[in-house]
Amino acid sequence: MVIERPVFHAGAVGVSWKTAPAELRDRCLLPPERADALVERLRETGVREMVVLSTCNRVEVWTASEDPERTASTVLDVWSEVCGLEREWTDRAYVHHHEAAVEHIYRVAASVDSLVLGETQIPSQVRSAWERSRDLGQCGFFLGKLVQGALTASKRVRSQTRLGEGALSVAGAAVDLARKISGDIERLAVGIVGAGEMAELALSGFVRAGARKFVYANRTTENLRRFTTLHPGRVEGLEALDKVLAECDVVVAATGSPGFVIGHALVAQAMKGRRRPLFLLDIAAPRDIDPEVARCAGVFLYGIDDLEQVVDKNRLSRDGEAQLAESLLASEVERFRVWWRSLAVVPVLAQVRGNIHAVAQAEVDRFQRRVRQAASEEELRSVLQDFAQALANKFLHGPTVGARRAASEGRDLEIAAALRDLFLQGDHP
Amino acid sequence: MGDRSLILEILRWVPFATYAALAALHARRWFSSVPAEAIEYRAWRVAGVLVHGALVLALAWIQSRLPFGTMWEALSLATLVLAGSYLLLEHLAKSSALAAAFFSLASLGSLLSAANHEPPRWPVHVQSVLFAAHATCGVAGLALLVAAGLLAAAWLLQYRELRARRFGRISQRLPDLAALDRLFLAASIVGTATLVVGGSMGVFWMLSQGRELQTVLPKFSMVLFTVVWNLVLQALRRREDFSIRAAAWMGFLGILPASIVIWVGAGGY
Repeated sequence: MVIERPVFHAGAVGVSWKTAPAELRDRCLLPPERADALVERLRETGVREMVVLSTCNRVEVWTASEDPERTASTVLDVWSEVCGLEREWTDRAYVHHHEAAVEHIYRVAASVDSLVLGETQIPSQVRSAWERSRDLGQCGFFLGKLVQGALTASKRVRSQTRLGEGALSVAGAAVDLARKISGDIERLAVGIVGAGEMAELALSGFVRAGARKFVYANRTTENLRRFTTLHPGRVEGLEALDKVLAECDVVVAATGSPGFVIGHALVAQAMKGRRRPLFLLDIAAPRDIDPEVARCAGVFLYGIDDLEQVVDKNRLSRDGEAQLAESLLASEVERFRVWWRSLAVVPVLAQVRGNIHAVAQAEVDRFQRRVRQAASEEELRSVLQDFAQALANKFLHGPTVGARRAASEGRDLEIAAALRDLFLQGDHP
Repeated sequence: MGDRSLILEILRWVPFATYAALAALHARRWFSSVPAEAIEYRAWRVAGVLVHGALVLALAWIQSRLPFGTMWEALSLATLVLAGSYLLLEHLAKSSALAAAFFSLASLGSLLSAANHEPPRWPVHVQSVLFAAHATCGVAGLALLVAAGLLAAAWLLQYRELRARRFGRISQRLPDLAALDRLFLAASIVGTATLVVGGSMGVFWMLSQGRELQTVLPKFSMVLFTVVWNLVLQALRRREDFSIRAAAWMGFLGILPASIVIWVGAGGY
């Protein structure tokens, strides 16, 4: 009898930011209705387990099938058809089979393969994709175990490395610094000076971080309407900068002015009789804030270079953490691999158990009459000894014949080792 | 050495071993890449403080007397309060970044306490409710003032790092300036109030014993100085025009008189 490897093999087919431009990724997107059509067609071709992951940076179909190579080809064909793509797009697609697919899925879920290393959205996107697939009955025990394993590994990476720590955008770094100086962003008053794109970028960062109180200042206050629609706030002209500085905990300066808008005297005046620190962020070019301001006690003045320095450090730190994450993932993938290999034994074990129970039941039936007829305890003991002997002979008949046959075929050492493993565990050879 | 003495000797070293282990565990976060959440050990910290508390009670029960027969024993109680205060501060600041510093100090206090153990010179009859309240509040207040000093030092360090635009490990690991400032002030206020209560109880106890204050004049003077120092600090801190940095320096320097009170106190009651 030939023992085959596990019936299920993992497969991953898709396009990502690494292999395809945004335009092609957009065309390959699989929103729910398209994903349903794809799944329906794949089912017709015999693919039993699948998960569709569709995000802005990657679109993938994960499968479990007996023939992953053929399944991958089918997936690409059906995908082209569902999205109305020419077959050439597949040049940009990647296909992973077997263990490579397992490793890929683990890396995706842990955001090691993401555009922004360690980004926090992908694990929840993978979870949603898996839950949707499970609820629709498309995800069986193999793919379910694989995705759950990948999510567990992702959690481990997140809790045991600093992969997701530190902002990777200038706006995020500004928020992080403000938090380090003044504490809870929700409680801070944020002043935005200027009405340009950089000012808007900073405003968006603080709004996203939960800031609620904003004061906008610009030479032409009409230009600030756009900001008040993003988040309500008080509007002031530049002549009221002293009030803005006195009131706010954070002031972002991003005007297009050729000279300094905020000078030393203005800040020194604002800091008089003030205990709270003042976080000044100058992201204008040329600069809006006189560097001398940094000498005022309680003032923290940063520029775009400082923010970029923070971002660079965070990026470097994440790169270093990625190596640690990879080694954690390797151990998690190995754990899945062990489980996967054990699958080959499961059906054989089930068959062996079934056979042994059938043999035991047949012997019980055969000895039932003799047990009933036993007249004395001694006679009953003799019947039970015969029963035990018969049962042992029956159990060992198959393995004995099989072992002799294997030995005669030249597999004597192999079968001897297997018998020792199975029947003589703990005994000396 | 009898069995009982041996057990007592071993028990005295347990707080030092516990705090030293906790300090070493938490020092890891400064040197390893493992994030703070992964090496939280919150349950371990709470367990360590509970173990110390249980030991103080056990020693009192075994020896049939209050656990401050000598100033070295009181020092052990002070480290217990310091560690307990730290747990409260950590809860309020939602940050365990200062665990290594606090537990290092607690292990130093426990080490001095265990290494300098000597038979109590105070007769049992001097121990009363007033004396117990005096010693407990006194050491608790001093421990909190030391904690306030440590928080002020952390604020100064974070301030320096951020002003110098060094966004490295120190800056990342320490809590934000606002949280450190709040905690430092809270520890200073509660510490001063507790020390005043402890000192007053001591005076009442001495009067009840018919003793004269001159016998503890150095300690009394230092306690008075510590209280005045902290009251001035808090009064200045309330003024809008007084810089937080100056207040932090005052808080940090406040460790000195608080430590002297502990040290002077070791000489007698």
